[in-house]
Amino acid sequence: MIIRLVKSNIRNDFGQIISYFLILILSVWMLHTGLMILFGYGRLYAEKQVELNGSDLVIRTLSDSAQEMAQLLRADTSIRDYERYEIVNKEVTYRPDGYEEGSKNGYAERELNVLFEPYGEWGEIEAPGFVEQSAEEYDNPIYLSLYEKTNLGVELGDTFHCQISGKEYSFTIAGFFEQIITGGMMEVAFVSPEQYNEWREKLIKDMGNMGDMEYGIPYLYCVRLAGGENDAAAGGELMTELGNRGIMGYVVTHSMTVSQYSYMQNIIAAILSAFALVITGVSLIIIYFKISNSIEQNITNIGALKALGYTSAQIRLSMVLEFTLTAAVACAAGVGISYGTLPFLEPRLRHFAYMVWDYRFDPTALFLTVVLIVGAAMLVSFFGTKSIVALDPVQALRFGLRAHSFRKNHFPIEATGGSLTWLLALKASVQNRKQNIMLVGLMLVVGFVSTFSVFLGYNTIYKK
Amino acid sequence: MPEKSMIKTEKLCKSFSVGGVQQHIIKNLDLDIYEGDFTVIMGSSGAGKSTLLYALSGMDRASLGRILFCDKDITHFTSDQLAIFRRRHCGFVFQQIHLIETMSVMDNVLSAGMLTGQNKKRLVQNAKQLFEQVGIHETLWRKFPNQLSGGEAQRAGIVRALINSPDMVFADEPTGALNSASSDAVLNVLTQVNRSGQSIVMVTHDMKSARRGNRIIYLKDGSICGECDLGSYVSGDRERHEKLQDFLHRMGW
Ligand SMILES: Nc1ncnc2c1ncn2[C@@H]1O[C@H](COP(=O)(O)OP(=O)(O)O)[C@@H](O)[C@H]1O
Ligand SMILES: [Mg+2]
Repeated sequence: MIIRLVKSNIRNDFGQIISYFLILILSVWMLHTGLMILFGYGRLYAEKQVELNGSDLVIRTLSDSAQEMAQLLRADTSIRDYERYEIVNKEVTYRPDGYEEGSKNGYAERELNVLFEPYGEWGEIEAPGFVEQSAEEYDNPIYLSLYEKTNLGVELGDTFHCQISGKEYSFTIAGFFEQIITGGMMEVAFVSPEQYNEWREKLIKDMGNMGDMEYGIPYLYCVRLAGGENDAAAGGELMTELGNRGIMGYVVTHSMTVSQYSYMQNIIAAILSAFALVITGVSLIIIYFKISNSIEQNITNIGALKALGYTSAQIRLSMVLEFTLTAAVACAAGVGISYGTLPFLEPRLRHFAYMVWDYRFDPTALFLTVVLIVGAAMLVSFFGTKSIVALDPVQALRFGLRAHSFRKNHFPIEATGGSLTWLLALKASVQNRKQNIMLVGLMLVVGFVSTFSVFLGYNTIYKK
Repeated sequence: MPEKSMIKTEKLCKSFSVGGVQQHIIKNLDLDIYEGDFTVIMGSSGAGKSTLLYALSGMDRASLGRILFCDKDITHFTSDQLAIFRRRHCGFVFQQIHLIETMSVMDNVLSAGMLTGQNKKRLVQNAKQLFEQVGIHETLWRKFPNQLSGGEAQRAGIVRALINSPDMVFADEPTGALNSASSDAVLNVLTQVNRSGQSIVMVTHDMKSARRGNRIIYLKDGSICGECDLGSYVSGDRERHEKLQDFLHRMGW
């Protein structure tokens, strides 16, 4: 019974319903995508840390402080466990295929600061989690982080031409791994133990030549804290301790890394959600006015329904349902589009995220989106229809629009010159002024949002 | 056979405030409307016919006095109570018809019928039967009201009024906007419906319509000026026609 009315209402307001629907789809898409990103990356690093047994903090020092470090770390009760990795730090000039000296064709060389480790010689903590690995054996393999894969745009089996300490090298990419601290901004790569040892011996020899006792081989201490310990606090204390003992080095914590990794996603999520809310807000204001307008226009229908015995609550319900159902369908469509666009969006985000986010169905994002959008539509249509309660069926049927619309008579026909059609058009447009202003306002917001988003997207994602 | 009063008004008054001034439209009206009658309320334009009809039908509330409908005092019902009351007890036929344009003719009828919680299958059956009865062919049921002629739409309006088998059908100038041929068709339907036992109150200011009633009440400035018992309508009855003419003449029509 009410459904029949809802259908009739929708038929009546079809034009507006369609534009409302499309605007809501846009908002839902933005809001849901924003929330997905926010929650998805919020969970991602914590989950990955467990999955990959990543460290809570990584301390980088030199080999000459090894004894003191061992003492320090063993004495610290907040530390549950740690492992020490020896590394060779090299400035690498990566030269992509097709690189020519001085060319500006996009195949520019890239400067990387790589921490090399020997392949296969890792422990439990901060071990690389391989996502891709070549089945073939290569003479001179290199294993890069997944981040580096997107960063450099390379694939498994590609040749990795580079210059290290003035010498040309040609590796073959044999695998990609994930790890939070060492697989991201701390650019770790694995090479064959032979290659690694060659560099290491060279390093030790050079150190001996220089006779510098302060010098040493770089060490990474990958630390897991005891349960309940805060990594930022522990990192701070360790930094102070290093300072006190005069040990050269620094500490990188998990939370610091995560906040750096998620910085951009948080901004994008915030912008998307904020714009979504602005658009939703504006479209709901429009709907509010549209509803009062629609009540005015259909005043005789409403009067007739009341005469038949429909209560105000039933008539209101039919209008509330009209807009709420539209919002619900827009939610379904918008969420669908959001999931449909994530496969294109996620790879672009890897530049900032340093990790692959294999997004899943997110009930929280869906729930919040639906509650916000559908709830707002419900509230607005509920309040927008309150004039129906007081609407008297006799007045409505007798006088129709005249009874309830005390509009000012702009441009009275008797006092204005010009042809009648022109006059009527003028009158109509002035009477719809409120709606027109809202529409122009919405256009401006949508225009602004899309321009800004495209601009922002272009600058941050493609031009990076 | 003593007639049973269906609607009874006691000292019914209805006034409107226009610019702060009370205008008394219906004044101390005592009136009985009987079951089975085709009651016609006549009077010149502005006499308060429609106002009275809306008060009788529970669409509007009395300013003073009482209204008893089927022995139920509806005077102080709230708007919602009146709405629910109207579903079962009142059917309406309007001059402007007021079918909902964005619903098919059938849906217009069903949306009224479903208010009383009838079994849907039986309801549709009933609607079809009524459509046949008023001469609305099956091809028109799925059409929208604006695809129908005025007369067809008004007959569909009558079907909507009848769908809940109301105690009383209220018709406010049902032929006021129709041409002569359509008017006759609509009036024939009303006559036929009344013959099958349906009570009707019809407001009109046209004699051709008034002739259909068996009881004519003449309203003047919100009071009953006189009434005339015509007996049941028989088409082409000269004597009956003259009686009505005579009555209206006396009323100063
Ligand atoms: N809501 C109202 N406010 C003010 N005056 C009204 C209202 N409704 C009806 N009237 C006045 O009451 C008088 C009777 O109206 P109505 O009952 O429509 O007469 P009729 O149907 O006999 O032509 C008219 O003068 C009309 O202007
Ligand atoms: Mg009238």
